[in-house]
Amino acid sequence: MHMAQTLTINGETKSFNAPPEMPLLWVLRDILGMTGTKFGCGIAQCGACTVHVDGKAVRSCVLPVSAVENRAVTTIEAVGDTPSGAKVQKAWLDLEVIQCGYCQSGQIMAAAALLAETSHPDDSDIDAAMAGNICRCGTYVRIREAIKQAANGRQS
Amino acid sequence: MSGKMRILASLVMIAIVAVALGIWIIRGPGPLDFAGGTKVALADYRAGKPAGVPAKLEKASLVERGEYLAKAADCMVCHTKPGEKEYSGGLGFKLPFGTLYSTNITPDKDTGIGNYSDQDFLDAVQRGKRHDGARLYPAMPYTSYTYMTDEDVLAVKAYLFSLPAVRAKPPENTLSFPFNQRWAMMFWSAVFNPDTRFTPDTSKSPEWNRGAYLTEALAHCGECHTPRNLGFALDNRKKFAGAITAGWRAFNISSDKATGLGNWRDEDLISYLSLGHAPGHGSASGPMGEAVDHSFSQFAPEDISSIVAYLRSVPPVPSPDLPAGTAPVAPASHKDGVTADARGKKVFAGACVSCHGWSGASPVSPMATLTGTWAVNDPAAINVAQIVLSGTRRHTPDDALSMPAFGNAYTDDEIAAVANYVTARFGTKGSKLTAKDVAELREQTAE
Amino acid sequence: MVEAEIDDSGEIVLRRITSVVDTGIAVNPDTVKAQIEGGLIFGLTAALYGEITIDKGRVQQSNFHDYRMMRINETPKIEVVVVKSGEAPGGIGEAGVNAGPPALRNAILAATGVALRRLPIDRKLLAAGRKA
Ligand code: FES
Ligand code: FES
Repeated sequence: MHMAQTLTINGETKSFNAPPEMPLLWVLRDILGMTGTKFGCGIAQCGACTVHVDGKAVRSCVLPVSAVENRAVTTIEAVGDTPSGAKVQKAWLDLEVIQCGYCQSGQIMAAAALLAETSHPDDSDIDAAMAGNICRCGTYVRIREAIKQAANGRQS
Repeated sequence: MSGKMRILASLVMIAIVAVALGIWIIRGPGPLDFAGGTKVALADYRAGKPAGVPAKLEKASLVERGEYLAKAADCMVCHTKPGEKEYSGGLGFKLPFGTLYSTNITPDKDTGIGNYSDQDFLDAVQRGKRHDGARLYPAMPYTSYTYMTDEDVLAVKAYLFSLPAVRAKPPENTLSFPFNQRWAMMFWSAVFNPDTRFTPDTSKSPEWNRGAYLTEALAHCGECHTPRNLGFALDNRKKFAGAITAGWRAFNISSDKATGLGNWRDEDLISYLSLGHAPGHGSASGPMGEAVDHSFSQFAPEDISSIVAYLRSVPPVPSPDLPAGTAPVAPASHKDGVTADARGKKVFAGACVSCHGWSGASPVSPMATLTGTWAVNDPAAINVAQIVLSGTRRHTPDDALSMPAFGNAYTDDEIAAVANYVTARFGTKGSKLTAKDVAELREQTAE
Repeated sequence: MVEAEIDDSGEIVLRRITSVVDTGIAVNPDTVKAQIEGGLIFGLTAALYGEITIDKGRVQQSNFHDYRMMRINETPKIEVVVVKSGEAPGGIGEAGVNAGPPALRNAILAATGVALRRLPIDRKLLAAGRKA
């Protein structure tokens, strides 16, 4: 059953019709046309669909849209406006982390949430926050380096 | 009589008494004996209507009433092999001594029950006797169904006979000697099947009596939740104290406060039975998940309430192998709390944390919250390992819950490690599963 | 070169990978390194988890829960050295993919004496071989 819903995404209020159990990812991509967030697996195993809900990394492919009413959703389209997101994006470019790019919006969202919570993550923090994000191209080595660089400024 | 004869005769007498006493001790009380009130025949009970269908279906056709009762008795789950036609049988039950296959109960004349007369059907459901006179194995819970009224059993028959006939012959059972000797079930049945219909208890409320009928005669909760005795029949001295059935742990549903349902609120029980989930108590999976999907979720609300009223009255029996209560929420950081089992943590970080969180409180759905569930507080981690192996999917409400099966891509060592990590982090006492334990669990549930 | 730890159950933990590559003149050495890093992980994923099975004409694997990928917490330090070379530039896209599995296989042989001849690595064979 479709229902009128209102969400706050990237600081803007969006209204649309969707069944309450529809995953947020579908709403973002198919209804709102915000295709920066990717679909990888649909079962919370890859992290491609990661968004922030109240600043925390969450897999939008398994998150019913009704669960985020009245909560702040941030997507890859606007994460660069957050302090940690900006740092992460810069480090990502400096180290040329990206290969095909498919997983990278999710990687950046996960990394930005990690840095927002833990300003100087060690390797175990990086493992704990990033192991849920698969990269088929195998950019893990640079993801780790880039997170450290984003945390500490230039360093290799 | 000569002296020798006298000694022999008294030995025989002693043996007979010993056997009778043994049977009496093993058999123990019946499922409703705990209530202790005065029982009357159903026909003489005027206060309420324990048997039959709920009020809204009173006027419905026989087939419709039968459908409600067939769902309440959960016939379909056992009599359907996943992917095959409903009620066409062939589901395998792995037992330590071989595999037993459920039968086709569609009205097909050759391979189903199309030739069953009303009496044949009553004999099968209430007495475990097949059309051809052969004995059924008690995997068919006829010792519970025996409490159903004839009228209800025949309504179920009418429903089954309204379904399309499916030609499907289940595989032959592969039981080993002596378990392949069906005739021997005659003695089992004589000892353990009371072969009696439900008798209301006048000291209890009509709601309680309805709940007792639904719980014992139809839903057959005890078949999984009551431990078994030496004769592999239900041991009602420990009624509803929990047991391990088909490789899953059926938890304690007696009114014990620490390890049973004593601390659940009514609304929790109602929610768990009708939706497969209760906030703070987790979600039904495995065989209970199926029971919710196909049976309890179809119950009328007043029937669910009756079951709850009845369950409340079952005396507390503690489960000595469970902790006294469930653990609180785990720390939010991966670094705090239990850090042992590096391999388990590694698997958890990759495959589990996205849904279950480091704290056990799910960031995506309350249905995926681990905190407070008995599964993670079971120091044997049986259901944790099972759900990792085979996943889960609840159909209520709105397909809201599903977890993929990880059994094919993760090794027994990894699954043991992650189960040990999960029980240590989110439960009261970490499990000590080994790869061998996981391999055995796989065996018990494999098709 | 792959450095790996293997335990009694046949479980494999990658410790360190070093790769030396001669691709002729490296137009963009950093991208060459990135390709080798990614290729190694792709190839080792295939060696560790890449099994596809077919039942009644159908592939049984369907998604990441039954078809795994290496994750960041399984990925070791990877060091890539691009050899200075004056040869004509060659392709570098797949070189790392093919280098990983044999290097791991030989590391397993060196560590356990088990000579595996099939991929993906069968943990049970490895465990059995090790005990034998
Ligand atoms: S698409 Fe959501 S985790 Fe893969
Ligand atoms: S960059 Fe291609 S999947 Fe990660």
